[in-house]
Amino acid sequence: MYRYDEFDRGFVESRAAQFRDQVDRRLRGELSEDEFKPLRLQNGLYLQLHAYMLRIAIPYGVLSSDQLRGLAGIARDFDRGFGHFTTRQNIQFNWIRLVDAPDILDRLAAFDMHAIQTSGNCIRNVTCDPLAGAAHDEIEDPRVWAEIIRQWSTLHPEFAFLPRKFKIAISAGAEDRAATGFHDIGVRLVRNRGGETGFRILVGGGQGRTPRVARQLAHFIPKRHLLSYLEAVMRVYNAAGRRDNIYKARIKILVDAMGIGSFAEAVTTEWGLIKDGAADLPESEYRRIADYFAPPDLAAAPPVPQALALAQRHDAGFARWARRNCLPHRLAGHANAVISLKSAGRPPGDASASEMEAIAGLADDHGTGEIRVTYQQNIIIPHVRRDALPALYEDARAAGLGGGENGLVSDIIACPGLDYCNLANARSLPLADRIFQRFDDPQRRMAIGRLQVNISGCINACGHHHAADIGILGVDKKGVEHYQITIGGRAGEAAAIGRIIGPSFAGDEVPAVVETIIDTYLAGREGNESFAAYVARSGTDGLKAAVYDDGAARARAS
Amino acid sequence: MTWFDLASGNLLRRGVIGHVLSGNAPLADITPADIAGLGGAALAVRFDRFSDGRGFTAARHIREMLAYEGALVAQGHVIPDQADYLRRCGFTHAEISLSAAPQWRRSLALAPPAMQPVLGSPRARSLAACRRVQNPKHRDRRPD
Repeated sequence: MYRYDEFDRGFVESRAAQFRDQVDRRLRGELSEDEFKPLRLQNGLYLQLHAYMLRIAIPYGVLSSDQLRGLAGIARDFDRGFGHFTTRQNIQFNWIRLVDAPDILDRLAAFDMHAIQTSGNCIRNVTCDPLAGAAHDEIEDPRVWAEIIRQWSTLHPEFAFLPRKFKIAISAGAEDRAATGFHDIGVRLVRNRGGETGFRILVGGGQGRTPRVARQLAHFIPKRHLLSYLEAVMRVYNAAGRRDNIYKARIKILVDAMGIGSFAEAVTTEWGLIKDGAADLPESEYRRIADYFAPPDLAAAPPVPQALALAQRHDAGFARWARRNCLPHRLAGHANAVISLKSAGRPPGDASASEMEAIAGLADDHGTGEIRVTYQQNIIIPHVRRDALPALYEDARAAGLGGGENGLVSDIIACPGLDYCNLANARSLPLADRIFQRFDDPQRRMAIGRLQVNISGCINACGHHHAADIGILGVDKKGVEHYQITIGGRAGEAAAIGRIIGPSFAGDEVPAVVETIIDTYLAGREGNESFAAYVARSGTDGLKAAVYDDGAARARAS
Repeated sequence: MTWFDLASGNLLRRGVIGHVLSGNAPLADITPADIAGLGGAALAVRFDRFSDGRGFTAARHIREMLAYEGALVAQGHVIPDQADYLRRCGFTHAEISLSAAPQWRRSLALAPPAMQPVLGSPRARSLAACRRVQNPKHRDRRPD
């Protein structure tokens, strides 16, 4: 993984010192809140309902075990003993005091981390396929480019005061595991007919109140021109993006207004002026960064080890976990193990300090000391020998982290909602827990199969409800928390936006509504048809009828 | 008001501004006519609000597309924490109040080194060279 050199270390240290000065000036009243706000946001510090929240970047979702231990220390020393993994490969601490923030940034700098540009109207933390470098289906390791984009976008002097926030994702697998279609810019590593690798660029995706699936801006940008191309896109957006209305300031609105054709033309014109200039990366710098991402030295291991087969036969819990949570690796004898952060009573994505330390231990003992975080708010231990999976599972279980199946109904993505966030209309976390409880039988979850339920506490859609099989959106109905249900959304390659099925429900009706939808699907599916395939085939009329005709009565009765 | 020299951190007597451009002007409206006939006077870009970043793009456009080489002054609502960004986008001066000068100087010194090549310059350095030269402790302050 990328390691800071002297330059990078000096960089994050000086950034922390700069922020300390800004906090001091704010506390002395020399900086107005209006002028301080973008400065603190660009250092990850939000003012929430009860306290400050600090959002720390986990660039492209990669952590070392020591970094995770460092985060555990911050949770213990500055928060209430836990942290929250977000839907964009960041970690948030929700109980921070303003005066502590500079000390936390110093602490982060000591283990090569930062909170730079995790908020504010700037280019945010670049997200990536959590299996990068370990996936069975990728063209090349996208982390090299994620790191290059991170460095290019960090404190870029021209793009620190954009019309609105700006999110970039990159992935290189046949399966798009970074939701590139829901980002302001999606970057997909592709191979052209000549066999050269380069980038397909998508633009204007996003969720929020105007959900859009990104459209193709360029079908192939050669690698050496990536940064100048991105710079051209940013410049067109910075100059022409709307600033009169915060809800119409994202690049997707500009692309809508100009039309993708004219937008692409403006970018091409701008790019033509800068493309062989200083913005592009010299080969030597590319190589310096790429060297950090050389694949780990993994000894050959048996693809179907006896220990694994035996454990699967004798332990139903392990068999389930192995089937759902062990993802394919580029080497047949290895796997990538998902440690679920979804369990009864746990807000999705939350981990206590001791759990973080336990996960760090799992990575050291059974993997390569590396940890990945996913936008689905789970953890992945990459590069695990398949014969070590039973022991990993046992250790995870001993730490209370052996439950929860990847990609099933209980693997709920949720934003912090009204329990923490001052933008929310409704709570997300208690509802996630009630749905989790409703489906607390693992065999039933396995029978339902792959199904994504996502919850957002407001239209800003941090819980990705637009991109879920069943999306749940908190709305305010005359001062009472209500929830709208959407069906048919999807992240990944064939990204789609879910459709609202009808009037909203009170919070206590929602678990039964979800259950009605799922029961209707189970009754109507053909063979092993997934929920997404069922909806694609049969539409949503049957589901609506079940929910609003007989289902509504049942929901109220339950 | 006085001029703060973004290269040296020194204050200068306010010079003559030949032409003021709005930082909000569409790029297409900033043309060679805007830099013609300044006769040694400075060009200024006016920021209505510090959080509106269009002026930064305007400055790079003026430097890189129009190849303007004279003094470029940031006017209006800019804050000390933007000193380094202004400099790296090609501004030479910020118009500030005398009392604000110590903080501008301090903020300029506190700015982290640049990850990107120094911008706003036909001689911009590559990322790699930039990393070598821009050691945080011995930084080159000239807007080269």
